Amino acid sequence: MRVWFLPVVIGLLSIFGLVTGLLADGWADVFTWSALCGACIVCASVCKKLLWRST
Amino acid sequence: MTSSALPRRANTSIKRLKVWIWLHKWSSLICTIFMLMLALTGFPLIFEHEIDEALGETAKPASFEAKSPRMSVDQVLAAAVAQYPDKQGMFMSQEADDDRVWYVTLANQPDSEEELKQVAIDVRNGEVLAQPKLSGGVMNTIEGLHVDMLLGLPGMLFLGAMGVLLLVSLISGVVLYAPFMRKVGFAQVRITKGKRMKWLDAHNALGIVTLVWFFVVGTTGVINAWSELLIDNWQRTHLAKMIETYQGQPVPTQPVGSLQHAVDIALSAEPDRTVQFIAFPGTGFTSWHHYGVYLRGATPLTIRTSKPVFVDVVTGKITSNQNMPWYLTMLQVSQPLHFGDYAGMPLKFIWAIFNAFTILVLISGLYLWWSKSRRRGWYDIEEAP
Repeated sequence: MRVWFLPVVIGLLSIFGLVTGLLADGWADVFTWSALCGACIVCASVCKKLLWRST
Repeated sequence: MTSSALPRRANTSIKRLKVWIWLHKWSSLICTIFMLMLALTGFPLIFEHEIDEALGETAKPASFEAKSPRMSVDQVLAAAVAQYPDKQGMFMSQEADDDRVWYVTLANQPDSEEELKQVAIDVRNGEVLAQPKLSGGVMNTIEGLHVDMLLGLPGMLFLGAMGVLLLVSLISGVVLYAPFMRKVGFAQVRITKGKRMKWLDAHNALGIVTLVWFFVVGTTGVINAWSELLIDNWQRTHLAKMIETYQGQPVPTQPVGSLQHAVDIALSAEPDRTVQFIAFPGTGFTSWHHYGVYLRGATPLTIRTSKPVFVDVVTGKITSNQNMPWYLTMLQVSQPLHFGDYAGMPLKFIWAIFNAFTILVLISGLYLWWSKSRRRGWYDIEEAP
């Protein structure tokens, strides 16, 4: 279960982010940006680790 | 310990894992090159509106007073036809967020597919604001590659099939995620265990974090790949039924009723909606006897959906006012989830960033296959910690 906890959290955030902006404007757009930014930040940290030894 | 010495249960689970590895390998390998093409052409398409604006392909109306008087739709059409007197109206459309501009599509015949022209007219003074190219040019070519590889319907359906393979590879990737990442930790990359292990961890981590976005964009892409067939089905069934009482009647001769009247009566029947586009008699979206006034909804969810109101060109009366079938509504609602154009410029940037990460997932997958295929299997079960 431990291996799935954070992927599920990120996945749920992404789903809510994608759908919320579609259903409403204003604050919903801000939620969409924030929720999807979470996943982007995690990806950026993975890329940083990937590049660490290559440079 | 050899596999034959393992308990039967472990053996079964290894066999099952091998099946998923096989599925992930081949579904990914077959579609990756096409997904890379789609991801690369997708970049400029995310910012299509902004690029078109920079290239002068989008109308930029001067800012007048909000209550400036407006020309009738008939006058707007006449202003557009004046640019190409040998052509006639085919469609007229308005952006959801700008009712100051009408985009008028002109053709030699209403059912022509070639030599189409588009003219953007300012509704306040009849000024020609732009003449967007409907074919040729860099952006149209990129869009053509993205939609159907410039091959028409067969290309669209082929890309749709590649999209299905992508979904299979994403699902099989999820199944493989746990065995391969159990002892690694979320978003960790084993940087000291060699280049291949580093790329494997990065592939798994980026894949699982971008999974929902990739799945949503992939699924909506598959739905879009079926769009022509869905529209064709609607034309043969629902549309045909809406106009069946006019079957066999002679085509009305000029002059036909006022276009402005058709728009007004359609809006009076659906006061909560605004005009999305008007289809002229003889086009595939109405009959020879009707103006098809397509109205969009007013909420963020329904703003891209259409409701066709058919107005008889002779009597000026509404003859049909029906909702689109569920599958076309699903197509229209799914499109923003593919384009990422529903929450302003920040979402477009986020879409582009996700796109970049998925390119990395695809490239890392290719690298993993290439590096391992020269030795043993593609994904080694031994690599599962």
